[in-house]
Amino acid sequence: MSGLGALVLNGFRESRRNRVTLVIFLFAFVMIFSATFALELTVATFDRVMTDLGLGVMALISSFLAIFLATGLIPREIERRTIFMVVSKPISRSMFVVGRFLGNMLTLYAVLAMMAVLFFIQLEFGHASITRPHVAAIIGLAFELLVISAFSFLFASMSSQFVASVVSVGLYFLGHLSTDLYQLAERSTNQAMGLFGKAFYYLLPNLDRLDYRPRATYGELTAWSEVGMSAAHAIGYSVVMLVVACLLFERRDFK
Amino acid sequence: MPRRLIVLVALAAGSVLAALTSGPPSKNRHASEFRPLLLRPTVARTISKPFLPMLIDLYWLRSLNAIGLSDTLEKNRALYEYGDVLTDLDPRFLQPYTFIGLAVPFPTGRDTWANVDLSEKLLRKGLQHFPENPQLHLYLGFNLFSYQHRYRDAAAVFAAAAKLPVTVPFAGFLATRLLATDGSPQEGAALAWEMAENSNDEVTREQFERRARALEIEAVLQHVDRAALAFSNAHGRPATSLEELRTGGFYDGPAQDPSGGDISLQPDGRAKSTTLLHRVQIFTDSHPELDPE
Repeated sequence: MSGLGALVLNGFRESRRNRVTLVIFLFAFVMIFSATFALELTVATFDRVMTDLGLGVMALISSFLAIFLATGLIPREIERRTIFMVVSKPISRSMFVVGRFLGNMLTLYAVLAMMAVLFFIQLEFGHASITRPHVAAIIGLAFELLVISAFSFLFASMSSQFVASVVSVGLYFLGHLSTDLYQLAERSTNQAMGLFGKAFYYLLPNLDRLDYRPRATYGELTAWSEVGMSAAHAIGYSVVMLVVACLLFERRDFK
Repeated sequence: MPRRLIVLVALAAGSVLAALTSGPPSKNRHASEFRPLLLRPTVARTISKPFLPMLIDLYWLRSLNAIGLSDTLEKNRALYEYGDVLTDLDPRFLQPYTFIGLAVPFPTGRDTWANVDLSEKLLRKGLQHFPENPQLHLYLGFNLFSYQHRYRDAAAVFAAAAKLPVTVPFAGFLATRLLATDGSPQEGAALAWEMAENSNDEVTREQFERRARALEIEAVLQHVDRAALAFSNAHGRPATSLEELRTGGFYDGPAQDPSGGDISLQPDGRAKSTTLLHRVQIFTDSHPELDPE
């Protein structure tokens, strides 16, 4: 367990040292506070604009950060040959993947927490109240990041960073459109296409399910039970992705 | 050598062909010069699903900016594009219907307006999603009667507004007046009686009953107006009295209104009654004589 702990902390440090993290965090800072200036341009919809811009920027930035960090960690280790130092230690490759994954999540959640604090400060400055839908949207985003990181790790464990990034970005968008895919499959008159569409829906990560941001726009409450079920789904999906990533990484040839 | 020549010829021929057939993109004849560059809703929804609310708000801010800059018919028409895309992306976003719906009409002269059909379209779209919103009812009613002079349609909208859970006190009265202006005072009276019956408030009920009686008088007066107009067309001068209309065979109705007032003709040929101080119609530029002021 201490080995895993060391890997987690090492992964966290590695991600934190990455300049991308700092640049993206600064960008998020500017973007979130730019919503204050956007308020000067609007009428009657101040709370809405602050909520949408704040949560939208958080989602956009943290999701892409998750993809680029997660797809970069393992390939970089292989590229720099530092992976040999790690695998020569008495830890399994799977533990290495899990440790790196948890360290990555620690970084992402630290960034998300800071962005959330900035967002709440901005809401306070804008005389808008922090509501339960805001909190639910951020919790949903946290689990969305978990799923994004998990499938990004899966792709990174078997391919180069570039390929893993491209595929992960594609899957990120597909994950948000999976509900539409299901609806299309339901409308299809071709039974085979319908079945294929539905199968694809269950195979894809359902990120739309974790997206409570449109509800925060209208201050709609989300039942905690619904958040819990979606979080459980996200954890389950992430575990599967991570297990497959470990299996693939165990068989990977570093030469 | 021949190979190099073939390559050069192919290159030159291709370049010339490409240069000759190239040109600026063809202009869409129907597109406005000020048409905003907006993604189609289906495309926008697909590529920006994870941050759609943010995109909608950016479009909203752009449209507010466009409202501030719109000072021509074309620019006002472009506002509709914003409103249409915004409300396609988020049908529950109320403000684009109200703000843009009001901003789209553009004055082209005294009492003439352009883009009113687009404004009506956006407001009606809003009513589909907010059927109980009084603001949208009032804006649409205003558009129909003030810009388009479609009094009957406007009356239907105001009548609906009068029956909303959130009461709009004047909407019912305005609806009855609009029906009378449209030449259907009997329908206005029927609506006023209905409103009176459904009213829980004694004062409001009494006001509607009074309006219903006034509209019954208005119906008789409009009948006399039509007879006076027919007389004027036939003789080239306005009739001087009700008796003259009757003897000429233009009018065979009563000399008194339903409330017992005496009907007479004004110098301009329009009917008046001793029991109705002002006619129950809309005062427009085309009928300035109706204005009690």
